[in-house]
Order: sequence, then C-alpha cells, then structure tokens
Amino acid sequence: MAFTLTDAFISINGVTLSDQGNHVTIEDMREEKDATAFGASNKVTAKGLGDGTITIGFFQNFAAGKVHATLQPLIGSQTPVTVEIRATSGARSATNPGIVMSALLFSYNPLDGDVGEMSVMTAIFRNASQTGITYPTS
Amino acid sequence: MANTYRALTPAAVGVFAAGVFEREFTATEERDWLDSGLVELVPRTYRVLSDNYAVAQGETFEAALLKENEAALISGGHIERVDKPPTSKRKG
Repeated sequence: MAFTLTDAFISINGVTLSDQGNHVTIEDMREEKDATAFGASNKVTAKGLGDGTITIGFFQNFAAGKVHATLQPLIGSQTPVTVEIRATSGARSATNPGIVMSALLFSYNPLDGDVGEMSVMTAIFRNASQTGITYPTS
Repeated sequence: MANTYRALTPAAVGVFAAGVFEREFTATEERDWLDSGLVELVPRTYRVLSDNYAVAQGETFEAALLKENEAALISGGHIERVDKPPTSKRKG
C-alpha cells in the first residue's frame, strides 16, 4: 500500500537522529557495463560492482548529542559506521525493513542556507563494505 | 586514546604481551591488526549520556568499539568510558 513518509527512522553510529531529519534518499546501485560484442545488433548491458549511497537531509542543530555533534567527528574518520534507515520508527519487520549500510561520511555541509530560511544541511554516506546495502527484517 | 586488546596467537604475544594489553594504535593500524586475526578488541563499559543513543540515557553497556567510532560518540557527547578501578589483591 502506498504511504506518506512522515515517520522515517534515521540511525547513525547507534545515534537516533530521526527528529532532526526531513529527507532521506537511498540508492542501491550496480555499475552498468557495456557487454556488447562484435556482430551484435543490440547493445547489451551487464551489471558490474555494487554501490550504495544514503543521503540524509537534516535541520542543523549544534546542541550536544544532536546533528553536528554526531556527524562532524565522522567526516574525518576512516572507520565505517552503521547507518540504518526505516520507513517508520517501528521495529524492523517484513513491512518495515531496515535499510542498513556500513558507511563512511563523504560529504557534510554544516551550514547551507539563505537568509530567513531554516538552516538545513545534507549528509552523504557511501558504502564502505562488501555487504553493500542490506534489508534486514528482524 | 588507548584501546584495550587481547593477543590471540603466540606471534601477537611476541609483538605485544600475553593476554590483555593497552595500545594507542592509529585507526589504520587498529584495522590492520584486527583484520589479521592476531588480536581482538576487549569490550569496555560505557555510560550513555545522551537521550538519543541506542541504549537508554544513564545506563551502562559493554561494547568493543573501534577507536574512531568510540571517539566520535565520546566527542559527540553520547557516551563516556566507565573505567573500572584496578582489581585489589586478595589478602593473604
């Protein structure tokens, strides 16, 4: 059943930041490889390596334990952290699977806004393990 | 900040020490040693300071956190180490 995204769950390195976020995009991708051989009459595309990106939009918050305090240490870190997104804040289930990736934070723009607007920012996590994005239901 | 490890093989004991030892590896060194299987992280006790960590605020938990992940959580104000006092010797 279609649903309206109103209660997405966002966890980064074990820290829940759902109430600070307002946007999530998960991209579970495979590289496109041209496998077309001589003599072909149609182009053939094969799948290459997998990849994953999780993009999260936040309202910036510099308070202790909130967005900046949680994300800023990760931009300089080379150790992957677990990022989990769920469609709702309910527990993992078949209808509310976790979307989990061991990830590194590659982009963090702590301030990005115009005068009079809410201070929103974007964090971009990229896959950092051989498991890619997984979808556990329990 | 130093982390606590356990040597798992005679080779690791030769390099470090028998049993549990503390060492301040770089993140890369830590990953390389753990991936080698020669050493393992020893779980440590932490207290939760923030109200949005996976464990409830004020509670303690044991975990074997990689040094950069631990540093991120400590600097973010989410957890703190609960270092146990040295074990006192039994009276003779």
